[in-house]
Amino acid sequence: MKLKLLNLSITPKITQKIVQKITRLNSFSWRRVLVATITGLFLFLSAFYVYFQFQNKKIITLKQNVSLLEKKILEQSLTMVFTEAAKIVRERWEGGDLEGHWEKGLLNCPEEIMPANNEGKIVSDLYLRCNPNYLQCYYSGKAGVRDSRIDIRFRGRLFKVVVQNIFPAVNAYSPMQRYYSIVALPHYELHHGVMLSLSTVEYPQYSMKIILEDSCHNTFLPEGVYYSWSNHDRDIYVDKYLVSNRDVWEWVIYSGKWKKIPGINKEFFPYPATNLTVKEMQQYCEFRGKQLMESNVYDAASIYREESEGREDREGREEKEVEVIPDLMAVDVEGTEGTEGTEGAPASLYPWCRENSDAFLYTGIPRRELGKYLTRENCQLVYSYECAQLFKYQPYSNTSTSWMGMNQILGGYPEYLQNSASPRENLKLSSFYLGINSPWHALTKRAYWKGPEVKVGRDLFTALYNQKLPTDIIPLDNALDKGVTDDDELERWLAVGFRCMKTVNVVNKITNKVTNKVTNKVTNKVVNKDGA
Amino acid sequence: MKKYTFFLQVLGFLLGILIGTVLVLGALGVNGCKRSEVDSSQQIKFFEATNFSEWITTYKVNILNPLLINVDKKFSAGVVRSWQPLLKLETLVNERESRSYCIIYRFPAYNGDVTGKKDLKNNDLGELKVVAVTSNDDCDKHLYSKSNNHISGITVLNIWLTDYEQKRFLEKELKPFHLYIMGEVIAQSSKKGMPFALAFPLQNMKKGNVLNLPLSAYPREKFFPSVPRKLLSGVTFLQLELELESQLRPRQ
Repeated sequence: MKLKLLNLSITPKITQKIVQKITRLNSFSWRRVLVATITGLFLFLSAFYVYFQFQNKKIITLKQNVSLLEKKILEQSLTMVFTEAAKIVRERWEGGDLEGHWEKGLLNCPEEIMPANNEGKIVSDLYLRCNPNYLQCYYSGKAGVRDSRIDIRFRGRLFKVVVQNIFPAVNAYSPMQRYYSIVALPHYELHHGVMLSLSTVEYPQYSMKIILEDSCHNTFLPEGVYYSWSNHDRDIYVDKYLVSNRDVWEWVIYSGKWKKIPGINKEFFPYPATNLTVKEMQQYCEFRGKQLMESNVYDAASIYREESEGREDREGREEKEVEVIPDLMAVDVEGTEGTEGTEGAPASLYPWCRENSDAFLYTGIPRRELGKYLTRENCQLVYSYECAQLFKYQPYSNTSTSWMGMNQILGGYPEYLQNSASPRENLKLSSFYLGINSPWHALTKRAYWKGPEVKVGRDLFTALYNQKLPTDIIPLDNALDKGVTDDDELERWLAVGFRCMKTVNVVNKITNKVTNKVTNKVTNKVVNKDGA
Repeated sequence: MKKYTFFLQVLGFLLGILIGTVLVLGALGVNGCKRSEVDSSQQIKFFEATNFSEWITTYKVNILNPLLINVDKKFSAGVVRSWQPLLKLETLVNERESRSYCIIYRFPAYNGDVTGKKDLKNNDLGELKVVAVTSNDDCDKHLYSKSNNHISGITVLNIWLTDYEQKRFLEKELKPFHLYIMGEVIAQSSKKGMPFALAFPLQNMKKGNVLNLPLSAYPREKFFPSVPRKLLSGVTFLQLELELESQLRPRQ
């Protein structure tokens, strides 16, 4: 049809030639060539499309990977920064008021710590060490340091680390959100810790929590044989100081056992807690992952060890010498002579000397020479009744220290000790209730205390009443000054302190090691067999 | 002319395929090689960065294959191409939650030097992977679990775990309470070895918390610190938290 149409418009000769050529071309099958070319082009485009898609996907994946990698590297860097910052936080935690701002009156947070103009100079700075209330003060800028941020330079970049106040407010302190919280991680064997949250000014969306352990108020009892027992199978840590009102208040707040938190004057925070029953003392120690101090451990921690090993040679002599000490103010709750806490006499009855004869108390001090002996130094060894008239009691002070760092073991507050072997010897009576010449001012001496909830013998309280107790050293209204003489009333006013200890069994560890060794051997054998 | 028709058809077709092949090969071949090399170092960086932040809170380590940890020689005790659990790390996530990580290794097909070996496949080389599990989970159950947290192409591997003491390995000081992963990876195309050494501090590890540590038993010390000995005594770390912008609290 096409050819016929062409014939109509073009001259016949030319038309014929064209038609012939076209016919040839047609027979040459241009269509097939065209199809091949289109196929090639299609393949080209397909390949190009695949290539493009692949490249595009690769770029996206690479971009994602790069941004994920950058994020991970940032997180790694921040982790390192927080680790470095944690070292500085720990320094503050363990060092407390390093600048001495408390004494200078620059500590301005009475809701946490009493100001220096009142009791600050009396209470040792040691009180502020490992004290979360001080951290609250410090990081809220009330401890005399305005900028508590920590500068950490890492890989040439400066990070400003801040401690966040993200923890719920405790109204017993103040309505402000807190910089710390008290936590326990039983699965990690951490029963009491102070949790802080660190963040940076640069990346506030990232934070890391750290938990600080109390490394200031414990001391380790070395492995050894102590009288009739040894601690080969356990590690023992004992409290350096008596448990304070601050500690007990924290327990009351964070244990959640009390519906209503009793109010307390912050001035009494550093002083030993004395108004607790034995059960409450036990509960407190459990809250801290510890137990009440045991009588035998107390003796082991207070009697000079080298001498204690040779005690048998001295036993008889010590017994006789103790008997001849003039009993100027001996008191006993049961109305009998005081008994010694452990079987046999120790090497030295006084923690500051290795021989009894070296102690100024040993032979008794004549009344006319009392003034000569009642020096500040001697009162730091035994804070007796007379000392309480001359010098203020210093809680958290490294005084009357034992050979392994346990403080206030003679004088000061009477102290309750758990004694399962001899339950009627549970009180270290050496205290400010007794005169300097009292034979109770010696190690291993124990009296019997039934606890504040139980009626105590009148004799003790009569003796105490006659002494006119110094009111400024007992952090409660003094009943005796009020003229209370009834036993039921009086029994509550004997201020008995306590401390805790922690025992870690090492038997399990040894068993594990043995098991591991056996397992290794077995594994070796199995492998050898397999190899063979 | 007819006989040329077929020839031209085939020529056009082949031309199309050729162009396509060149392009595809260009995409997969040349760039693929470069990418593989970049990926090896990136993979190691990613592995290090990811695990650094998570393992820093490790408080207990269980050595699942004591013959392969703290050994001077490179791993050779395993059956080739088999997956074996090496370590289980227990970490603290937050004050309530713990998480464990299984470190699993697939032994390479060759124990000797692979340099110059042709036709190396992915399965022929070692692979170290990390699988997050719950504390009660057994690592053996997760030998074949997929994980993006891995290093592949390993030819040499050494893992050292230190307790409270500093150690020396190949003239290197190994700090206490650290996990060291050292070795060499090889890029498949270039077959060039690339050594790597990663150190992970284990901040929450206490003395004696490594189970099955094939080292001499340590004696009890006369005087302990007042808190258990750790990398930073008295401080316990919890894992880094990322808070969404909307959840950020105003700072007072």
